[in-house]
Amino acid sequence: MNPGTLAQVLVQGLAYGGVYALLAMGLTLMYAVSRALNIAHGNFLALCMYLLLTLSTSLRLDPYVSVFITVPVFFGLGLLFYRYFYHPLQKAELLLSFQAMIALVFILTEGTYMIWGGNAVQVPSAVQLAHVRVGSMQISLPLVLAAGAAIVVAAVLYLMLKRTDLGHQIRAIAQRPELARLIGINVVRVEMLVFGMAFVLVAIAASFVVPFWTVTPEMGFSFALFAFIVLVVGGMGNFLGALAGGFLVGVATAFSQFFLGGSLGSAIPYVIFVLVLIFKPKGLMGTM
Amino acid sequence: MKQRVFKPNVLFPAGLIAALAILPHFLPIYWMSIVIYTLWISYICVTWNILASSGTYSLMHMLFVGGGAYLSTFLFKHFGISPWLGMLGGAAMGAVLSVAIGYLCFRYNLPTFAFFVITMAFSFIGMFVVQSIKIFGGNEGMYIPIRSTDVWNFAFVGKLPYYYIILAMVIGAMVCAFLISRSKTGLYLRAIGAEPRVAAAMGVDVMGYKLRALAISAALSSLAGTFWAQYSGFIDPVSMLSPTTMMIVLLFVIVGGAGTTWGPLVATVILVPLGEYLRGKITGPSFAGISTMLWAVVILILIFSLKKGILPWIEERMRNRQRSARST
Repeated sequence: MNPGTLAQVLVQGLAYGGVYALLAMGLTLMYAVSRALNIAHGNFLALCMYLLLTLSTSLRLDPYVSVFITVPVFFGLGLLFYRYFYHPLQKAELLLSFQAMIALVFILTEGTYMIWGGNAVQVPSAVQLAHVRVGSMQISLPLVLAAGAAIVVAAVLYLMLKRTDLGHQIRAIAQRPELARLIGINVVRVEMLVFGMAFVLVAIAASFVVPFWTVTPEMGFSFALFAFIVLVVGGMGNFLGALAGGFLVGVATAFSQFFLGGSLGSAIPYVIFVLVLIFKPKGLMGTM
Repeated sequence: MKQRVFKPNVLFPAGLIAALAILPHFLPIYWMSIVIYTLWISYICVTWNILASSGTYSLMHMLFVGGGAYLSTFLFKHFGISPWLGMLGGAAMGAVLSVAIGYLCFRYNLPTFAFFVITMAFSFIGMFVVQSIKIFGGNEGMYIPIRSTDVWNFAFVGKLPYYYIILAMVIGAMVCAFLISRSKTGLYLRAIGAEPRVAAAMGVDVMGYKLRALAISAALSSLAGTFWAQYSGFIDPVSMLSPTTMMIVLLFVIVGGAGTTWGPLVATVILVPLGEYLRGKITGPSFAGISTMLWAVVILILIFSLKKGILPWIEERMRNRQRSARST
């Protein structure tokens, strides 16, 4: 086993983990402020990736450039999603709103099928085949970019949560929703913005994952399931936990796929999950 | 405790059973399979609901359904043991497995949705493990060998016997659920579902009763697995064990009204045939997914307009009507 291969696997794990972390951070924010479990999150990721495909085929835009188009679009989509989909359901039973999300999963999956077809496609990028040279090792550039982007975005979000007014309001709502309302925080507005931010994270993740991932309509759902595992591993509603959990699950997946391969390798993240559950049932970092 | 207004008396179930018993004589063969599928789904829904009355929503029941299917098929294929015995073995296995997993989860007061996600993960582990084991057929699944068509081998000619078996199973599960909900256990479970901390303070053994409900519901649901294996003659990991299947099953329970006795049945009877009808009506390559999409849209419309399960909605309407009748 040469160190080059191991490093390649590690970076691959960090890149996957970064994507999971971006999704899980969005999920965790939505869960923290409005107890929403958006199981359709992965399908929005797939939708965004198909959007990047269309932008690439029609306007010849590189996915790293298209991010400037998809981010505002998805921010708006997040606001609309909250205002017209989740908000009306907030007074209904929790399970019912979850079920509505599952119905949405069906609609989005079938919708992407009908518009873009079921074939696996790849979105080309200028730096797709580029490598970074570290000593004697060659590491694929898109993987490095994905891992780096996740860390940068997480840092920005963390500072936002800790330093800005909006961040304080978000944390206030996460801790004591009723009190937050009483001291005059516009809860609906903050929740709406949080949904917008979660969708922005999806758009960023899509742009960085698309150069090394083939896109199919079903992949969205499996991504969302993974992000949920990350959510629980990190501690429901814990922002840093989502980041750490994402990288942990991503790296573990990459190594187990490499050494064990096949179905048994796919089971490893879930085994980690069970171990975390047995030894640290509140997640790695507890709740926010 | 909310007063139940929708209380079918003895006549209603008796009439329903009689109608279902003679139904096959009026149905074309194509609809027979849809009806059997509908009954199968409602069976799983009813067994799932036994646990749901305690406010515990599991996504791992497919693990028991699939486990039952795989165990009985494995024993039948390699040792020639009757699927009926395998079915009992599957039930025992489901009960033990569910108690082990339940114990892990119930030790701490995890939020409802944490349990949801955790059980989903367990279901995935089961699926991946079965996929990677050669003797269970791996990804390709297993065909159930046809030795001879007799009762002992759980193999029959035509669909009619299967129809009556699954009908009997649904009735049995309903009776079970009904008896439990009437018993002290059922009362405790509802108390736990309504307010777990208060229930614990009043001296209810929360963990014990939850585990009991889980074991009963897991054992019962595993019977559905063996039935499906024998009926369809083929099982594979994804359709039998995947939590995605479970989510579809859940759709009916929740749209019908989680925790109610009749809700799951009402929703399945409406929604499964609707889905099949749409699939049959709208065909052609360009419309491949549109039936599923329309079906999901119908569900969304139901959820958005009712804001609760179908049955709770009907109950509320009836209660309001009674109230207004009383006031005038």
